[in-house]
This record gives sequence, C-alpha cells and structure tokens, in this order.
Amino acid sequence: MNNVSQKSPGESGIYNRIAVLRVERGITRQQLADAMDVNYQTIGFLERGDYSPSLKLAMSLGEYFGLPVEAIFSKQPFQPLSRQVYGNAAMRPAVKESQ
Amino acid sequence: MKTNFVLLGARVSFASRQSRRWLVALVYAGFAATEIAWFFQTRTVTPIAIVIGFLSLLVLAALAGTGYEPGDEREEHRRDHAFYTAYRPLAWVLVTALFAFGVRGLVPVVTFASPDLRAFFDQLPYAVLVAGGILYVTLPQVILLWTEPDLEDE
Repeated sequence: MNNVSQKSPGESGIYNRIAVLRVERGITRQQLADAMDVNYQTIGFLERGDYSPSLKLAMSLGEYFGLPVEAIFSKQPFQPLSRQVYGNAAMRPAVKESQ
Repeated sequence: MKTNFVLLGARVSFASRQSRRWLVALVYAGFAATEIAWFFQTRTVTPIAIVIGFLSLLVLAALAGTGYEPGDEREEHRRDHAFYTAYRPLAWVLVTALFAFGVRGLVPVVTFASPDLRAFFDQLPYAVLVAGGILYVTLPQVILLWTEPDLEDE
C-alpha cells in the first residue's frame, strides 16, 4: 500500500481521497477495481491523481463509498481528517509533560 | 495492458516503461533492417521479412492489444488517443508514397540516371508504402507501449 495521503494532484490536477477511503474500509485495489468494473491499474492511476475519472465512474465511486462526489474529489487539497474532526489542536506538535 | 509473460519457463515483465521502450526499439530495428534488406534483395528476403514482421506484430499485439478488445474507460481513452496520434502523421506517409509514384517517371534525374539509380527510384515508392503499412499496423500499439507510465506488476 502506498501513497495513502495524496500530496499532489498528479497529472489530472484533481485531488482525491480514494486511497484513504479504500484503506479505511480495508479493501484492496483489486476489490475496488472489480466493484467499479475497471482494471486494478486504473485504481492506482486514480489514487495517484494521474487520471481523471468520467462522471459515471466518479459517481459510482461515490455510491460505493456512500459519500457525495465532492467528498472524494476536489480541486483543492483535502485537509487531513484529524484536523477536520478535531480542529487545529490536532495539528499542534505533542508537548512532553515530563516537566 | 498485459505486463507479465512466461517465455520458455521464465517470467518476463514489461511493467516498467523502460523495458517496453527497449522492446519497441528492438522491434523497429528489426523492421528497419528487414525493410532495408528487402529493398536491395527483394526476392530472397521477402519470405524472411514476412515471418519477422508477423512475429513482431504478434509480440506487439500480445502486449498492447489489437485495439478491438474491450477495456475500461482509462484504457479505451489511452487507446483512442494512441490511434489518433498515430494516424495523423501516417496520412503524410501515404501522401509521400503517392507523390513518389506520381513523379518517378517525370523527374529528369531519374530518366537520365544509371540503371541502378533508376531501379532505386522505381523501388522507392514501394518501400515507402511498406514502411507506411508497417507503421499503420504497429504505431498505435507502439505509442501505447512507449507512453504508458510504469505499471504495477500483476
């Protein structure tokens, strides 16, 4: 498993959370590919942002993960989930309490 | 795109773009050598050229597909783009061959040249047509093999 958090949008210019969602649900690329009726290589290209899916495939991914399309794809980088859930406090470096 | 083959019991991988590019270079070097030999020794080389050409086509088709089998949306997009990219310049090869056919009897240098040179110019349009035919059949697959990024091994 590699490149779970997408740092750059790849060739497509679109950020996505497919890798995070897939790992979260514990499914392999092959399983996701079978569910979407695409080649598993295509899932790799999607996760790296090297391929922009068709609207049909994007909506199928949304249905599969039970999320709206805009929760999976974005033109802006996604914020880390920890920040979204816990706010900026989650991004502060841990402070040693040994004093 | 198929990336793994078993050849005489050994597993051969074409997942990396570099290995596919080496294969393309090898196949086209074979085509070029065969066509040059055919150009100068038509009768003796023709059967060998046909066999080498057919085998090369099989290798390319096995790797990149024939262009007719179904694929997913990304594969079909890549394939359509490869065909489009390949066939635009090929139109110029056809035009060049037709032009060469049209003018070969008209140019003075051909008319007054030595028999060897005249034979060369007589044969040239056929050579361009054969090259065009080879490119017509192979170029889309070759573009796919050449441009597809590194793939994950199967």
